[in-house]
Amino acid sequence: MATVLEHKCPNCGGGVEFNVGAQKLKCPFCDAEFDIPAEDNTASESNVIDAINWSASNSGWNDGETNGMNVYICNSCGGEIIADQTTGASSCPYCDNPVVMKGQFSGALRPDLVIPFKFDKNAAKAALKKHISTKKFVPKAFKEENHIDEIKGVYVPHWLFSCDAVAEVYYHGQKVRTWSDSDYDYTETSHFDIYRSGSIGFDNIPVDGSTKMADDLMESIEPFNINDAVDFNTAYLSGYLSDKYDVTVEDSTERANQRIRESASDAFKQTVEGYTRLETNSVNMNVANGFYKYALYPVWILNTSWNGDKYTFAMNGQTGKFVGDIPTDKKAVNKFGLLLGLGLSALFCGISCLISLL
Amino acid sequence: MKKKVLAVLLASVMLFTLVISVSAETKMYVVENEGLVDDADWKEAEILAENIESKYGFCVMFAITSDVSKSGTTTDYCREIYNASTDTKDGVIFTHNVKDSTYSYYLFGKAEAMFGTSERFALWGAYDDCDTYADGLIAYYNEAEKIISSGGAAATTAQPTETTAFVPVEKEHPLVVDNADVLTAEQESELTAKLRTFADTYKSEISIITVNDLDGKTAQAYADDYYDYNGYGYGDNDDGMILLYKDGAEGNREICISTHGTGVSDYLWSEFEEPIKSKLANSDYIGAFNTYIELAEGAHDKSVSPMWIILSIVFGMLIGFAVPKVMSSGNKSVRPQANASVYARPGSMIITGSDEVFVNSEVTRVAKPKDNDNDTHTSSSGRSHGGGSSTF
Repeated sequence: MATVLEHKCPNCGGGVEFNVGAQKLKCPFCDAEFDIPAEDNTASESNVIDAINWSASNSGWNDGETNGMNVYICNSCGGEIIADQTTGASSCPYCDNPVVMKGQFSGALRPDLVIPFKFDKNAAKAALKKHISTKKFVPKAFKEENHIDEIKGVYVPHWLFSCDAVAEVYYHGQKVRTWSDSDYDYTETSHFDIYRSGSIGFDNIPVDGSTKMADDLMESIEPFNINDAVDFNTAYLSGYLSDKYDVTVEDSTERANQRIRESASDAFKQTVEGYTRLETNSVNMNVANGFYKYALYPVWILNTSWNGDKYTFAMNGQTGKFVGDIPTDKKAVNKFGLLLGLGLSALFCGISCLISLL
Repeated sequence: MKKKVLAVLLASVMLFTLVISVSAETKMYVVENEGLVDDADWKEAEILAENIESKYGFCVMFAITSDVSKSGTTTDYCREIYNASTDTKDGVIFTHNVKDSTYSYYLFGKAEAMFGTSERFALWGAYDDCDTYADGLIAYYNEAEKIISSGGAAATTAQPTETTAFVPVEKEHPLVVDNADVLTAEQESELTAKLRTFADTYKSEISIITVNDLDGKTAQAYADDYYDYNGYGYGDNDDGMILLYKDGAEGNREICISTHGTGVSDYLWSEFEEPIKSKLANSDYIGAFNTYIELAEGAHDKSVSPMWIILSIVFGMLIGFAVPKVMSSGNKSVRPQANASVYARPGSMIITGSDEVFVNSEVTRVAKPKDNDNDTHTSSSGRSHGGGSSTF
């Protein structure tokens, strides 16, 4: 199997992993470090997707490139997780179920870019602990050390959209003037129709390409800095799990268009000044020179079930931005509220007595 | 004929010089240029003044005038008249300026220590309380003798150790003054008893005065001045209130409340006006004045209403349960980010068209809240009063 893409240590033959600190491959057995092997990337020919006017800058897999990768299919949520042979996936990062099926990696698009992890697992654990410690009324389950230990590094597929947006935006503006005489306070509200047209360019607006990964969670850990992105190489996947896109680029364009529309109207809005209130009425937008890329973005992720609900925490593996909704412990909230309420009631009663009797 | 005219002229010149020489010989304590006091009364006052001077060595003077323009202020007028009339070192002069109904005084020598604020109020009050100028003068001199004989303010400050036997210098004043004669004698004594109990209980002196005439003052000024110059009010701060009722035909009646010291915040005009007015309008005078006392008692005896307790508990609980909600609001950190401005290509924005058109405007007005309850004003004595007045 000469073509199997196994990243083995040339010194001791052990499986090497991508090391965050060194941004190189590192052998966990003999500590040797290696540069990422160069890939043949000449096959990028853009496909034009006429229907949505977005063109791809995408390429297929090189021969044999995928041979070293295993696909694990989650029995519970149907997630397909890709890992190289050196990384065993013991549970699904999305739903926490044990992964049972092991299948053959097949086809699909080869990512154009990858942003390598900049934060390792210890940093992710520390960030998670810090995240939890700043929140109030956190249920105990979220503070357990062994649970925090299960945080996993996942490359999440993203579609990156770039374009020049040409837009016409209509705003409704209000100016408020107030004055007083001896008897009345006057408020004058003036209404204005405001119009702006122009163009603005966007580069690499990411849209989550995985159904298992919540879109709002992925948008919450944005932004990713594309300047750190490198050409895809399977070596970066060593030691991490990877997801395969299951939202097609066509399905992603809707969200991309929404974000472009919102951002363009907002950018134009900045040129409208002097209004007390300003609202966007309508936006007409066309996109020119649009093209997309397929990229893997690094995310640390932890799933927790509590009281029958699923809670997911995510950290931007590039910037360290940590998000995740934490439920409040209702019992703790009620206890606190009751005690504070009783205290305040007594205080207010005291104050009203004092005021009345003085 | 010419001789006759000359003779008359000569006679009148001689008579004039005679008058001047006579008035120069006799010392004048009461200077009265307006013809408001007849000679007999004037003489009586002069005798009282002479007695005081011979007994205590104090020159007590009084002037009634309508023109102080030559001297400048009424105070300057006081000083000039005193210095022109006497060489006595220790003395006091009060001047009643009838033109604008103000008074002024000047103290000389030992009088400065003797006539403190309350003594001056008492002295002026004695004069001002009387209905005629003549009676006022007599009362003025009697009060002056009382003050001088007791040693006045100097005596009370000089003997601070005798607190047990200390008799307040404060003038004993009636708490019900029924000049308009709307109350029977029994009603007056009944009210007086209530008002005395009130003052002892609440350390605040409230009083009632009825008049037929405001002496050309506004009701408020009359009530303020009456309160100040007669030494009304409880304790050193003169805490309390006076109710003035001016009797008259319907539409010409007036009530006024003047508050001072703690009375300004204790007694709010808005709480007194309507209940008292409605009773007075029906000529229920005793009812009105009893209401006045009851309302004043109510202002002190505010008990905590159950409404406040319920509100306190409701708000306490609401805030109590809202606080942990607010505290844990930061627990949610996952939100869709529709805005992707961070991915905009720097410098790529080009605005090609812009337009801003005025459509319309609307004006709304909201009446300002009115709050006259705690308004205070300054009376002619320079003290701060609260209260209000109303005609009905």
